[in-house]
Formats: sequence, structure tokens, C-alpha cells
Amino acid sequence: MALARVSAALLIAGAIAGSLAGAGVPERTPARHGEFLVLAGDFHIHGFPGDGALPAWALRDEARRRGLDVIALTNHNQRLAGRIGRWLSNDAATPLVLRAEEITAAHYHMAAVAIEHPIPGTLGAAEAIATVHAQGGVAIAAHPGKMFWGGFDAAARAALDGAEVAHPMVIGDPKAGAELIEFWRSTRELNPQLAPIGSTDYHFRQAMGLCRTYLFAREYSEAGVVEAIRAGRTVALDPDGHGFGDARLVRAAEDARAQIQPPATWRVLLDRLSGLLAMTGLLGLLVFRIPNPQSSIPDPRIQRSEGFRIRD
Amino acid sequence: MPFSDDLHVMAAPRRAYATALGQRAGGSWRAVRRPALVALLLGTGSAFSATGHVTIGLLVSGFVCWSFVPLLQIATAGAIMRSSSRTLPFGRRIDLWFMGHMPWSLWIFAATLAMGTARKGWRVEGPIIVSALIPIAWTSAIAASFCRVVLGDAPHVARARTALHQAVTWTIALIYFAYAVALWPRIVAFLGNT
Repeated sequence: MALARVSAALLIAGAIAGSLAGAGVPERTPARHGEFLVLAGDFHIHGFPGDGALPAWALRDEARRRGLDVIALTNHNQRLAGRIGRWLSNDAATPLVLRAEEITAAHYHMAAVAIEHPIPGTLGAAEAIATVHAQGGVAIAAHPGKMFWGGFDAAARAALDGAEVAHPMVIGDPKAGAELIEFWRSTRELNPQLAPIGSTDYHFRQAMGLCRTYLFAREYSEAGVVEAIRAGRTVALDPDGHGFGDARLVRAAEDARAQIQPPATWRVLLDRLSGLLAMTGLLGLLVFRIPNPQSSIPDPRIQRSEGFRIRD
Repeated sequence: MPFSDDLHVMAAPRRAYATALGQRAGGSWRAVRRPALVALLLGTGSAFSATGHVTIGLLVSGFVCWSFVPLLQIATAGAIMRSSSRTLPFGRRIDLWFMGHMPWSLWIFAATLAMGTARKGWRVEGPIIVSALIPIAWTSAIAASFCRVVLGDAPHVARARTALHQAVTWTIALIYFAYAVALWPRIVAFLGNT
């Protein structure tokens, strides 16, 4: 009994430690660059219910913790997670959680950001982009490695608003990185305003914002974010911190990053301790016995079948 | 070490189920305790895996969100794992059924721990998926023992009931997976590339 109780206490202590680590952190104020606000975004996030671990309200907290100002909830061919999140939380709260979807078709994947209605994966890429634009959103080619190049014909490439050039798939795979850059470079020849986008494609594994996009927006709102992507005023940051985009904007994004104050050491330690304590407590609850005081008394209600022998 | 009865079920299912069957059931709390622990495991594990930390908010929201999994498990076990020859209250039957969840519980714990602690660039997903074959096989063996000992099934009935239960469970899991990842366009793409 004692070990099970200690395990439960460790789990609760871990949760309290994690909550304390994030308590009282002041709201992030975006940096300025001339007339623009420099916003940090991640436009490829999967949530629950779907193939993501966290529901929309928890994703917002995680975005805040990772220093992001805006995220897009892009589940595959559905917007249920986003709708539940919007129903349960304040629309104007920050970080912004944009209504979005990862249009998942046989020959391309595309993040449709700031859309009103779901878009089916049965459309061709150019038609899907036109539908996104008709809803006031932006279309971003998702992880456009070589296997997806055939899905984006010239008309689709000319109409795209952005393309992921930084994505965790490049970690330890230079070929994948080269394919993303090649797609971005060749598409920009048709579409010079194509925004470079860095996204994490976040599912069950940390860390949100590992790849991110810096936006130079006129206002901190969904409309401001959409306008910045359409105008191509973005910088994509890869997992090693390399920036892609206009050289002046890359320098400005690096300046904005440099201004971010790291969290206090005690907060970092408490944060790490929370996971350690909670997972240790969870393991204890699984493996240690919580005895039943009446367990040695046979249950007279159970009728035993005749002639059954136990063989182990 | 006072290890849980569930570990004993994992190690020697028939003997452990026979022992458990002879014990008094306890109150209604005991019927929901094990399913609640599964929801807690899924909620805490997914929070740790996705964020590397745990908060009260993550714990509560994870528990609530993922409780649909043990609820579906209760529904499938309640419908299929029922005996015609032995009278056993529903809550007691579900409690005994969830005693066999330990292989999956340990796998979920290990998987979420690995994903929450893996360094950037470590590809842990492949080994995690392959290692799921262990709880799949182990749980089938435990389920067959449950049918033999707890429900009093004959060997061939136990095998058939276990197969039916696994088929229903995996069909439900496949439906959720297909919904979550938009499986059909991926199949079309796969077939087009082969």
C-alpha cells in the first residue's frame, strides 16, 4: 500500500512542479522590426482527436511555453479538433490558434490555414488552393519532398502562398533537406512571393516550434498573419537555427530571437523534474499492488463450474 | 516486493486469474479503478511524450480526452467476454478483464517515455511500432486464459472468443487510425507508386 501511495504522490508532485514552472510567466510581447511585428509561428500542428497527442487548449499552452505567437491546427482532412478547441476556448486569446487542415491527397499534402470549412482531399492541388483562397486562407505545401512534386503542377505552384522549407524530416537526412530546398527554389521561379515556411509537423513527440516561421506582420491577428504569408514576408528556421528567406528578414528574425529572454534556471529545473516525477509515479502505480483488505476471503457469490482444472 | 496482481496475470495468467477469482470483489470503485488507470496512463504518457513535462492541466485534460479508449475496451469486453455458464457481476468481470492489460500498459509507458526523452534526430517510432507485436501476442494469450478460467470456456470456445475480441478491437482501432491519418489517400498513393 505504501509504495502505491508514494507512487501516486510522486505523480501529483510532478504535475504540481510542472504547473509551478509555468506559473506567473509574463505574456510574450512580439519584437518590432520597423513597421512590422515579428511573430513566431508553427503552421503544421496535429491535435486530439486525430493523430495528435494534445487537444487544442493544451496546444495553446504548449505554444506559449515554446515562445510561439501563432499556431495552425492542421489535422488530416478534418477540422473537428479545431472546432472543439474553438468552442471551449476564447477566440482572441494568445497565442493565436488558427483554423486549419492538412489537405491529405494521394499526390500532395497541403496546410490550408485560416479556412472556414473543411476541404476534401479529392481535389487537385490547384483546385484545392483556389478553394483555400476563396475562404480567405493561405495554402502551404507540406513537406514537399520528391514523392510529392508530381502533385503540384505549374498552376498549383504559381498559386501557392508558401512551402515548407524547414521540417524535422531534414534531421539526419541531407537528401530530404535538399529536396525541400529544391522545391522552394524551383517554385519561386514561377511564384516569386512564395513564403518560406518552417513547421514542426507536431504529433506525439516534442518539440513544437523546433522548426518555425518568423512572420513580419502589420498586426497581431489572423488577418495580419495571412497578409504576411501572402506577401512572402517570412523567414523559415530549420532545426539547426539556419534561416531561409530574404537576407534582410533573416537578420531581423535573428535579432528578434536574440532578444528573447531564456526562462529562469529554477523554472527549467522544475519543468524537467515534473516529467521525471510524474513518469516514475506512473510506473509505480502500474507495478505496485494496492491490496484489497478483503482479498483473502473467497467470494461466495461466484459459482464455480464443475470439472475445470487449472493448468499453467 | 508487493507487486500488482496485474503483473502476476502477465506472468502466469491462468494461475493468477484462478487466485483472483476466489477473492472477494470489493466495492464499485474497484470496477473502475483499472480502466481509470489506463486513462491516466494514456493521458500522462501522451502529455510527457508531446511536451517533455507534466502539469495538472495536462494530467486532467489527458485523462478526460483519452478515457474514450478504456470506455471502448469496456464496451467490447462487456459485449464479447461474457459467460453463459458462470454468474459474474459486470463490474467484477471488467475488473478481472483489465487485470490483463499490463503488457499494453508497460508498452505504452515505455513508448511514451522513449518519445519524451529521445534526442532530436533519433528515429524511435519504427522500433516502437515493431515492438507492439509483443503486447499484441501477450494480450491474446492472457485473453484466452481469461476465457478459460474466468468465463469457464472450453479451449476451442476460448480461442474463438479471443479471436473475435481481437478482431473487433483491431477493427475499431483501424477505424480511428484511418480517420486520424486520412488513410485512404495514402493507400491510393502507395498503390500508385508500386
